[in-house]
Amino acid sequence: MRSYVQGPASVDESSQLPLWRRAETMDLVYVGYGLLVVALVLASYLLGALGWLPHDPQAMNVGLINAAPFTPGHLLGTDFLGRDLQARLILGIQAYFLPGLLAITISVVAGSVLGILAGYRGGWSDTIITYFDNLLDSFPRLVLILLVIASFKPDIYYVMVVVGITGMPVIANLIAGKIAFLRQTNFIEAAHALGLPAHTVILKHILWFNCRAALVIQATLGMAEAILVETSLSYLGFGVQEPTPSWGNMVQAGANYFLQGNFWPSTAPALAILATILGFQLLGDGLNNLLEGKRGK
Amino acid sequence: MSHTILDVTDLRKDYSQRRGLIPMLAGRERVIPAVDGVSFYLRENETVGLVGESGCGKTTIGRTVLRLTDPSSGRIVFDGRDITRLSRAELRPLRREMQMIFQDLDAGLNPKMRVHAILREALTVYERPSDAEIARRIRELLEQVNLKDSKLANFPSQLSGGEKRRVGIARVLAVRPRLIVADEPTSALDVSIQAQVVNLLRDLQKHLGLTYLFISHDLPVVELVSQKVAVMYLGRIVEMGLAESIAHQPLHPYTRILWSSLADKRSTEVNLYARSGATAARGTWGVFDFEQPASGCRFAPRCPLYQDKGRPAVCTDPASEPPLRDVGKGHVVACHFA
Amino acid sequence: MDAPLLAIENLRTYFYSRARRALIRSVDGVSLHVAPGETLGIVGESGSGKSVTALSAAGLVSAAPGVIGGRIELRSRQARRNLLDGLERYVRVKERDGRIMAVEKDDRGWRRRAETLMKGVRGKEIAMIFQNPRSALNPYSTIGAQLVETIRLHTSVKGEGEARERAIQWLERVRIDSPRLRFDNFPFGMSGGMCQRAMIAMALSAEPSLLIADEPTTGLDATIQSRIVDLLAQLKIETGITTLLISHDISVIQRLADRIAVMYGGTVVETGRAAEVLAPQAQLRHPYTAALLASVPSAEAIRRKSYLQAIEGEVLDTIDVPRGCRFYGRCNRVTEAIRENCASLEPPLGEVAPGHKVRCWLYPASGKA
Repeated sequence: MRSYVQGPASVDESSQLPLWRRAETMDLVYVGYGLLVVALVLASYLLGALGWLPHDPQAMNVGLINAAPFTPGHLLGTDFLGRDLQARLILGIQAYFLPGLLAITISVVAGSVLGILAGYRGGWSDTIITYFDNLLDSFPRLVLILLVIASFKPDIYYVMVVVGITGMPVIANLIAGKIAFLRQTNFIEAAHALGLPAHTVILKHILWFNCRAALVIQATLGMAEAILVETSLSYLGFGVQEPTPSWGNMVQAGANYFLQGNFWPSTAPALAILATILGFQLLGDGLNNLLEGKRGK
Repeated sequence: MSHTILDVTDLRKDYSQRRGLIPMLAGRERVIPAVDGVSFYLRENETVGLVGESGCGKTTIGRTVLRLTDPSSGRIVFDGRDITRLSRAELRPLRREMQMIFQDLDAGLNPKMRVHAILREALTVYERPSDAEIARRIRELLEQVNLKDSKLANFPSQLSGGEKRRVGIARVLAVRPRLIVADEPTSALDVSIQAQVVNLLRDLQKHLGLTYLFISHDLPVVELVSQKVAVMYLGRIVEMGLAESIAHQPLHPYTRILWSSLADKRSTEVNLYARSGATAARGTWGVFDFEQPASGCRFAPRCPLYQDKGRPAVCTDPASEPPLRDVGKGHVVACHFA
Repeated sequence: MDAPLLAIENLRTYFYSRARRALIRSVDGVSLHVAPGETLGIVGESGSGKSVTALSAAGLVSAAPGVIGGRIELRSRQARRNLLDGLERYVRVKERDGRIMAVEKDDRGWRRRAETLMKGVRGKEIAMIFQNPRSALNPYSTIGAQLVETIRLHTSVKGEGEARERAIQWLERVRIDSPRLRFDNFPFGMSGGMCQRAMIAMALSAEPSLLIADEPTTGLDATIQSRIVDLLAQLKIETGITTLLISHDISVIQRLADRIAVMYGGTVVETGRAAEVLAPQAQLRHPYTAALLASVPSAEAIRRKSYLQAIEGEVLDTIDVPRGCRFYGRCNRVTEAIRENCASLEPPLGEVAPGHKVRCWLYPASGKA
């Protein structure tokens, strides 16, 4: 049984219900959790950048290795060298935060430019960009990253440039799609006919009014992607190198002790990765449902 | 005689169809003439109706004369100035004087902007009026198109079809145009709303001295609002003249078919006639749809006159596509036998 | 009058608007009868509920809650049943002041039961043609193959070769040139008018008892429209098919319908024989019908270049249905004597002449009904 109830008599059309009242509870939960994660990451990043850490992350204490959480003085315990896990986890955010932002910036900015060229100019630029996008899409990202690492150096910024570039087609397609939708209703042609200059149409009408929500969503998902790539590479030893902490190399370092029963030093960063990526993903999905409407509706 | 505001001479517009990367690089294109040598003019404060079936090029003419798309050849003179080859920048100041009402109700209405913002933007395209002036102009526009104040806070998706159309018209009026190309302005609306919009457009013409190029397939409405009517078939004007003569003394067989198909639908007499099965006798008019332009007269493959006259060779002679001939009182027709 | 082939009684089909948290009363108590061999034309504007009525009759309403009450009695030779039989147990409605305020529907149960009732009816007993024929045809199959499939599925003709001959006959009957060549055409190679002819052939080839034609000419060019109307008129004579014809174009209805129902805001506001309802001099007429007829420019109006008689206001939004007459807000014939009634009480569909009913307080017959 599903019920359909008539709301208060005659809802005035202009005073639409506020977003949070129209939304489904789960979407709000997603977004709420996501925002919490973003806030935590941001705060931790600042703490790490300013060096306000609960402990010196490099200080070893061989008398207290692989300590469990809630050990006095070490809220989240210590690793195999007796270093404070909490401090290292906070500092680990440095490893992906700025590089991730770089990747997002590259894919959003360059993707938008490509999308506008393809959708707005059309013609040959559309054809060429479509082929370029397909080429990028069909190339395995990890192979490309390893190739870059092999030919330059294992620098996370190099890697993130690759992540940013491979993230462009999604954004470009999204924007080209929005433009195609606006074209269908003759929106763009009507704007030109009125005499609006091209830059107003592109920046104000297309990007600002019709793509900003989608871009924020894609940026959020892009951050999740960047974290995943960084941690995978660090885990494999291609990313951030010891003793600088990164969640990926922390998992890797802790994994050696996992089978001996000291599962915590690797589980803590793994949980951090899981919770953070989940946070960005859910934020993206939740925002998508809230701002763009579900199932294409 | 009032002054000629738009003069179009031998306008052509070809569309090319590109298919994929290889033909593009090889430079192989299929060219389709959407508008194939069309001439007409509009006098200030008059309405010229442009009728024809879908795909006949009437919308393309509207877009080309406003330079929303570039003509392949021909000449467009707006208010004494040749605008055929003007650059975008040179065109911009002229744009405000010539505007277009699109068939699509959503055209120009950014789905994420409220009506107020849409009108405000239109008012500030060419001028930088003060806030007080903007408020005054918005009130004036609402009054002109007969729209309630309360709609200003709505998004386009919250408006009915008729209201969207009114906002679309207000948006165009905001720049104070002289010429408006109205492309099927009523076809997306309900019958009862269509009449409102037709009345509104005529009112605006009277009060603001507008000139309309009225593109429509709705023959009675075109006949009602236009002084002159041009009938198009596959990219060409086949007949043009005063609205009354086109409606009541059509000379081109295609114009006759257009009007008779209307009469068929309307009159109960023809209705009874059809019920007796006699329509089948008119076979040749019957079943055909879009065909490739034939050599010679492009209407010949569908032409009842061509059949009746025993398929005269002149109709399909590649060297003689019938030109528009003047048959008096400014009535022109492109048929060997009219 | 013969026993109707299709009798719709008090049909209600509602939808739900999430954005506005409100019930859309798309079809709100509609009763219609179609006698065998007759064409009933339903005319109305967008949102009048005409298409939803037809879709409900064919069991093709997909949005929720959908059909919530009424009877759809089909009495053809092969099937005699109420297509909504026993479905009331899947729906509960809460009323306040005689108006439905909440609907509870067990959609799964309803669907299962409704599909059982529709078995052998949709496509076979009730065939439909739609506004956009191209989207209703399978783009990956030839016209001929689709016809043959329909014929073998729904008629006694089962042999491949025989079905093929029958299919070609149908293409001829809908006046498609060189049917043997067209047989192997795919829909994308055909024009809109040609697709509509193929669609009509497809619908009729199942030999249905009832044809539902939903806006069959809308979206086609004027000359093609009148050819399709011609075709439908001829097929009506040749096959005697009972038809429920839906159109916003009053001229199409005028040419094809024997009887007419004018719908506004989810209800029938006038019904009667076509000749009577549309007669130019008719006195007893719903103000909405009168306004609809007047909003099409007449030869007289064109000659005098006069203004069109427009109906003021907007088409009724079936969410905020007024208490009184649904047309009250736009009506120009309200008199002081009836104003109170118009504003507060919905008029009944009263008989103003034998077989001619009007839902308006102007006519004394309405009061007695």
